[in-house]
Order: sequence, then C-alpha cells, then structure tokens
Amino acid sequence: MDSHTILIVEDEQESRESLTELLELEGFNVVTATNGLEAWEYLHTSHQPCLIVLDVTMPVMDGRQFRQLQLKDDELAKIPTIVVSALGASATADLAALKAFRKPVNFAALISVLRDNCGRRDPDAN
Amino acid sequence: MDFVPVVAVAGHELRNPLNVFHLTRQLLYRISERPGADIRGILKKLKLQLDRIISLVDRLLDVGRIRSGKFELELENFNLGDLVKEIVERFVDLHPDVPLTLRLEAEAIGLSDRVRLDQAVSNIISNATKYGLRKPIEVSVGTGASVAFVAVKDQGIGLAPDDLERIFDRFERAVPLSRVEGLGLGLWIAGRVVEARGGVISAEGQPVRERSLRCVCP
Repeated sequence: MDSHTILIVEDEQESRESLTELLELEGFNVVTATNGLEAWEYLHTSHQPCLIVLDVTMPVMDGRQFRQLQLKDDELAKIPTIVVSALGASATADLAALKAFRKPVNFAALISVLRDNCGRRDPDAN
Repeated sequence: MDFVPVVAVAGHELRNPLNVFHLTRQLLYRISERPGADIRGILKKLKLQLDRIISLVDRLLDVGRIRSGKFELELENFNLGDLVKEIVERFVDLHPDVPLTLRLEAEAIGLSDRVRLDQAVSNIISNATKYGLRKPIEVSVGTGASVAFVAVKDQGIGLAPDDLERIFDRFERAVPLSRVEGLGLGLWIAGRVVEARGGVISAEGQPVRERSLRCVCP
C-alpha cells in the first residue's frame, strides 16, 4: 500500500482536477479514475492507495456498483473509502463508507479525515 | 413529475457545479500568492461553473415559461453556422477530453431566435457529451429545401428503438439516474424551442453503437 496516495474516482473533470490540485498542495500523491470500472482496473494493476475518494453518480460503473465489488474482495475492502457525492447521507448509508460528504464538500473536514488515515508528506519535499 | 421531486433533482444537480466552484475558490485562495500562479485559468474555471449554475436555473425557469405559454421567440437574421461554431468552441473549452468536430456543409442564414437556438443546440450537444462515452462527436450544419438543419452524431451508448421518442420527454433519460447527471430537461426544452420556430427534432440510432439527433427549422 502506498501510504500517501489517494485514489479519486470522479467523472466530472473539473471536480477531479480541482480536488487533485488541492490534495497535491497538501502533500498527497493523487491518482484518478473517471468511473468505477477505471478505478477497479487501477486497483488490480497498481499499488493499492491509502484511501479512495468515491463519487456515486458516474457513467459506465457508478460508485454503488464499484463499492459492492470492492466489499466482496477481502484485500480491496480494507482500503478506507470516503464518499463525496451530491447525495445526502441517508442515500449513501448503504455504501458503508468510512465517511460520507455531500457536495459542495467541506474541504477542511475532508483533509482532516485524509490526514487521520494517510498521514501527510511534506508538501515541499520531493 | 411533481413539484417536490423537481426541486429535489434541481438541488442535487446544483451541488456539482457548486462543488467545483467551492474547490476552485479554495485553490485560488491557496495559490494566489505563489509566483507564476495561473490566476486567469482559475478564474476561467470559476466562470464556467457559474455559467453552469445559471444554465441550470434558466432551464428550470423555462419549464415554467413553456408550461404557462409565456415562451416567445425574438426573431433576427443570423448565420446558423457561426452560431453553432461558437457553441462548439464553448464545449471544447468545457470538455477538452471529448473529441468534438464541426462540419459546415452549407451557409445557412435565416430568421430565428439566436438565444433560444443557442440553448437548443447546446442542450443537444450536452446530451451527446453525457451519453457519448468520450468518443468522437460530429456536429454538422447544412441546408435543405427552405430549411436549415443541425445534426449531432455520437458513438456512445446508442439508442434503442423504444427510446427514439421517449428521450424528448420531460425528466426522461436513456439510462438509470445513478449513471448520469442532469435534470432530464435538456432535450425536452430543445424540442419545444425547435417546434416554436415551426421545426422538428428527431432521433435515430442503434443500441450500443451510435445516435444522431437532428433539428430542422424553416
């Protein structure tokens, strides 16, 4: 497992890019996927990330389908997963996520959860 | 669909551009004092998200206007090709990862409502970007016997025979709600605009292969 890498699964390009830049400024490595299927393929071909930030409404494979697959896999199920979606907490409760944020996301609260789970690399270190 | 679900869907849809706006504002705040920071690029992103929010609100207001009959066209002479070129350029800015090409088959100058037609064509192209699976989309403009047309062809999820007419209904989608965002109003509004000008909007395609939406106006 890569202790500082966050996997963002988000279909909307602008959301993905803005969150990526912000997390990189905070010292995290970020990899991205545009839907659940891309994320699933990434997890089977690369180092496991420290944490997954997952949207729900996405084309091809949505967040709910991805989460169902993830939870059936003993290894992948261990990766902490945070849901960030336009849906309310009750609509995402079945995803059994570590934490669910509703868009627009409270970035300070999100960062706090990421730091608790993944630590933090010095943003100025290479 | 009743009023309450409409408001719920609209609230849900507004959260996405608001989220990008919120994150981008955070980004601007954090990098604004860094030498060489791309402030203009970030401001452009903020403007695009504001435009999305305004467009969503306008679409909701249009439903009310259309249903109450307070939907009037303001006709003017303009070049349809120029208008569609502007729209395509906007989409290329907004979706740089979607291969979008424009084919101008003939010069089409005529009398229509430029703002409303912009809205109708934008809605059709937006629909193609949603369901086009990021594969090439071709927009073409041409003329026929006393008519001009805009056609938008994508190679995404395609279109089943049962959906050929249904996709133009209000709050209808060709796929489950969990897979795609939007109010389900875009093509319905596009259809009302085209019909108000005496034109027709139609769709053809094959499942899982391609889809072509076409509007023809006098």
